[in-house]
Amino acid sequence: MTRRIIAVHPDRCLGCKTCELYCAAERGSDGQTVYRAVKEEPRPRPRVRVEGRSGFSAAIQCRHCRQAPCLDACLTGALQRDEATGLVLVDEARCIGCWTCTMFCPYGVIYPWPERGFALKCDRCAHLEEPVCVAVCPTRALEVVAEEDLSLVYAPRRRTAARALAGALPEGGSAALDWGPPAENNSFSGR
Amino acid sequence: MEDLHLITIDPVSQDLLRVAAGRGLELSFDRFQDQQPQDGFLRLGLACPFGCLAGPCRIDPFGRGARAGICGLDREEMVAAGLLRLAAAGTGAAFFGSEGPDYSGPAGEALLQAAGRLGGGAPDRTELAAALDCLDRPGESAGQMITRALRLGLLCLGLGHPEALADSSAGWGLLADGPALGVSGRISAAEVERLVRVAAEAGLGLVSLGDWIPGQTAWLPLACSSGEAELALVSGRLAGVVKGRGADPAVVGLARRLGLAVIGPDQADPAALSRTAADRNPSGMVSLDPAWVGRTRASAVPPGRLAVLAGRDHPLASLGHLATQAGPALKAAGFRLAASGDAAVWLTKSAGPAGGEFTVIGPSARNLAELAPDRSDLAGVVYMGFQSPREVTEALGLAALGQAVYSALPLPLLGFESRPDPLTAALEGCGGRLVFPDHPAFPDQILDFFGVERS
Repeated sequence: MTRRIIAVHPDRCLGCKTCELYCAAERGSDGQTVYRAVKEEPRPRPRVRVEGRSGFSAAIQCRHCRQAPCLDACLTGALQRDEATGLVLVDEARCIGCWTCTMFCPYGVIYPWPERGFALKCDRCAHLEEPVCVAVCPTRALEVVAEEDLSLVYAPRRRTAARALAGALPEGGSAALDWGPPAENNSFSGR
Repeated sequence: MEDLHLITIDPVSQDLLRVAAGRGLELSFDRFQDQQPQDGFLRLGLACPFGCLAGPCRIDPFGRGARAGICGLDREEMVAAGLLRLAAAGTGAAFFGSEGPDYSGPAGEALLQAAGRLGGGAPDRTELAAALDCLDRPGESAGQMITRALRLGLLCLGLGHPEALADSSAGWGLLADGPALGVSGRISAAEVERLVRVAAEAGLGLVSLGDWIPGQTAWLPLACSSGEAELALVSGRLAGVVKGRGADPAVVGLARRLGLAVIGPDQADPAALSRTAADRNPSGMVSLDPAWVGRTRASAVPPGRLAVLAGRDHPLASLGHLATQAGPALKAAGFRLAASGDAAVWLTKSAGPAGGEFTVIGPSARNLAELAPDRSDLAGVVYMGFQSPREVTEALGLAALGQAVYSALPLPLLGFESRPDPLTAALEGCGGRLVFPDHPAFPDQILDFFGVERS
């Protein structure tokens, strides 16, 4: 089984919250468009949240942890692992709205939705070809990658960190290192 | 390429899109796709883009995030400030080349009466200055800002000049007989006169690339609608482009990339144009038939229930779809038809050589205002799309004048929280309305707007 996850590039995130807006509109509303969602009650809610401030921000959503504390915390079995995809999903019919899972989530990305009576979390838009947040991000700060490729996605970042370290080394200290290609294109998919 | 009909209804344009794709030319339609999704906060009117430099601010329509701008503008006020910003920009543009508002005649009188209903005297330049001062740090209520926007709409109409009715022709067939000089944007009547002479000396035709440009006896023939201007360049039938006011940068850029002459309205050199024309090789791009030209004859706007189709092409809707579907249906329902903007281009194109039974009333919304004052039988004005703040401002003005106005595309006003929203409430006091759907409209919705019963 290849688990696919949403990789986040905080260096590309402008904090525009487009992912939040469209996640709420297309996944949290009946109308499924921004123009319709804005008029709906109860108000649509996003499953992704942008945290941070100007200069550093990132979109945070469920990481579908391999050892997910929320799964152990769920009292009714509403939270379940989909074996085929590895996604942690909410069975809305079984959720009793106790919010225990929200307390155990290490990322704080399971949200109570009292108006609907169940916990809200990212399901990576399992029924769509591409998650909405990934599709709408204007700077491609989000991308879907296979778990085993995650290391490659962030390899350029490691090289950048190494370069920064090299700058702090004594004179000639970096001469023997092979830095590989430049870090400008730090996207796995090359988009 | 199988979804070309979703971009334009014109088969020639569809062929030209294939040609452009084959040559690797990027057009507005490609750039539109690259821009998706466009800023949702702005689309709702819930963004305040540098209203002041503490921003830009946004309000979360779903109530979890920011509920007010840094200055304290709430949701209603932010949408209203955005509308006022559009109206101020549109009115400022209308002042260009104008000697000031003209409130003479029945249309002027109606504008003054409408301004009175909104409170205050004749709108003039100070009204624009006051609006800009307000926007420098928006501090008024939503209602006050909307009133300002509506009065600017009336001022915008007052700044326009009615254009005489004239014959018109439009269609790709105008490019069939040889290379032509294309005019992108707006140019003056004197410049048209000179360019006609220059083009003739160079052995070229002279066509507009989507703007209604008054000539001596008729509108300058339009090879295409404004949304198809880049396609005209792709056709290989143009020797050069005249860059008028408001010409799209992309048209000028593509012309340069294709090696066409790009000249100002007063810069044409017939000899140089002839040389450029000789370099053209129009064959092999697409086949064009001289018969593919639609015509309309100038005639007075007829009495009776009048439906007006106005507005410009927009990539959210298949080019030409709404006008060519709604126009004939409205006629069949007994409406008299008048059109302006790209809507008029599409109706003219589709009319064929026999001519269409509708009146082209030119691009100036003042023409629409002229229809308004003593025409209780004006059923409404439908804008297919907007390309500029000025067009939105004119639509606001018509609604403030007491007309029923429909925008076939969503406007950045859906962020209003209260129902009815403050704009609708303000327009009720004027006897007018401005309505729009929450998605690009279908032709049926235009018929619904006019109250046409459908089986």
